Amino acid sequence: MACDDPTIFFFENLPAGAEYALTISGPSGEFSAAPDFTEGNTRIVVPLPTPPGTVTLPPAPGRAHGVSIVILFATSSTVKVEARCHGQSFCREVSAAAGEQVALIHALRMATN
Amino acid sequence: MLTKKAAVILVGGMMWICVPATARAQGICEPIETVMACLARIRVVLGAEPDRTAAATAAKNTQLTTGKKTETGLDQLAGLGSSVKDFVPLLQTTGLLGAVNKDDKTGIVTIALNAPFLGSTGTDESKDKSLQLKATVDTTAELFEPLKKLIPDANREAVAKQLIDAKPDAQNLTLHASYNILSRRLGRNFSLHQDTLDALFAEALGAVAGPRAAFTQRVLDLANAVSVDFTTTLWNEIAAADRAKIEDGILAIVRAEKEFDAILSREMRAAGLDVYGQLVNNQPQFALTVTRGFRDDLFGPDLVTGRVSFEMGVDNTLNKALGRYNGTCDTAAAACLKAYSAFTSKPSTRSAIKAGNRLSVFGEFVHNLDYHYTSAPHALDLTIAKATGWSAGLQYGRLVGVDDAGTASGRFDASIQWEDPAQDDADSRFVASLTVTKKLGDLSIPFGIVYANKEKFLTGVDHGLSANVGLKFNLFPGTK
Repeated sequence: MACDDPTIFFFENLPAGAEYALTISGPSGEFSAAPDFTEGNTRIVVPLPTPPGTVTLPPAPGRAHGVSIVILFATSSTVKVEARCHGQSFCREVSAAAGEQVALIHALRMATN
Repeated sequence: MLTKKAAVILVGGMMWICVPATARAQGICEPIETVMACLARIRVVLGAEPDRTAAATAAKNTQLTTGKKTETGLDQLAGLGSSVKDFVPLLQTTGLLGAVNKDDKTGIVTIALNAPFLGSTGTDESKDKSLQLKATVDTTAELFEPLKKLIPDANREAVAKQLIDAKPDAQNLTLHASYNILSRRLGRNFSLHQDTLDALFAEALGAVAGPRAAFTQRVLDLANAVSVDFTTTLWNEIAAADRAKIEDGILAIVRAEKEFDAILSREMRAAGLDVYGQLVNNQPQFALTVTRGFRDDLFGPDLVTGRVSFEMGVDNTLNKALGRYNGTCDTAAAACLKAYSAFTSKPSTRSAIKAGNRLSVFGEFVHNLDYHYTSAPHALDLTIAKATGWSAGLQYGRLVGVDDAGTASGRFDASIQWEDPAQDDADSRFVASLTVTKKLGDLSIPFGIVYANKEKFLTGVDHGLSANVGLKFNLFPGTK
């Protein structure tokens, strides 16, 4: 199954209370990932790596929450980023050389009502 | 090289800010693509997002060429230590028997032996892989050389073949056990340092919090600008007014992303995290290896060997970088990052990392058990008493002329070694060697000097000095 979603990804039409779950996996000790959940001005760190870091989405009709994920590669390797929310899923395998960083953003667009 | 379409988008992107939305006749998105697909494509075209497929290929190539950039073939000359000898886990499969590999060149079959009962191996990344067991079987069936020399020249090969053929089930098996001590200060197991990397990275990210938040906000601005579904609605189904907002949003994201990426890269380098992996790979490693050979008398006496070795990078290790914060980085992240960055930002450290300085010391023994072979039909009778040979040495190696891509133009190696052979008729000797290798593409030209105070296995020789110039060429680029 393809695992090449865009690194800026939109989850659509989410209800308040939906659960967003994030998993980042790769060779142990060879990368570090720092995900941040942004709700307005609130910055919440999503715990990693497993079990999946989860956030219950607060109400924000017609607006979007954001998750910013930055990955540092200590070796040339591949890291798999997976997320699920309200039946929608995201999968992306990111490869980079040692010492490089990759940033991904998930926009969680809430339903209007 | 940019395609014609990419060039149009680039020019369009630059002009976009100056042109009123109502005057834009040509959009930057394709009529039958979604907003999310358009955004992904435009980011690649405008250079905000690297082509990840190409990046994956490049990363793979980097791994494949690392050895090629640094190898010089010196480990095959005068027994010099290679700069990239690491203790690599052998066992990756479950069950008692692991992978079986045959080296067609040497005829040696290697069988990895899993030892889950010792809690040392397995497929789980978190498991300690410090213990390795393997068996090797020599399938070449060569008659023991001293025995072969007892056969008259005239029919030596014929008799040797006759002896070997007469015993098709003759064994030549060696069991190997290696133990590599793994801790925060010893060994190169990345997983033991995960908490350190996480703490350093999280702390270093503080310097880019503003640009990171700005980049995220630009994405949220686009998400909040219009109400169309970005994953299913096609561009040509979106109202013109919304298209203009989306296009403005996409370009704002690209600008913010490029700015963030540049600052992120700069700050991570300033923090020294770009060389973190190399520091781990230069950590000291202490390894013990013991082998026991079970050989039919046709192949020689049974052997027991042991080797203890210690290897370390010089001024380029994680131990040096962390200092007293080694193991406590997650509880004192700010101070730990400060110490780490101060070390990695020193020009001398950067230089040592590039050079890949390695120093190693070793001691080993080879013990042969009592041996007695007789063959009346061929008038052969050979006895070798049990004995032990010892050797110890010190080796140093470094790359020279390393460019920014990590490719070395040459290499320097030096070693000293003391040997005390098991045979009674051979003196112990001291050997020193210096080798400089110049790399010219796939061609390696080593210049070496070897000094020995005694010639091996001979008595009565005071000093020996030899110089050699070699040529090593990789006939098959892409292979090692």
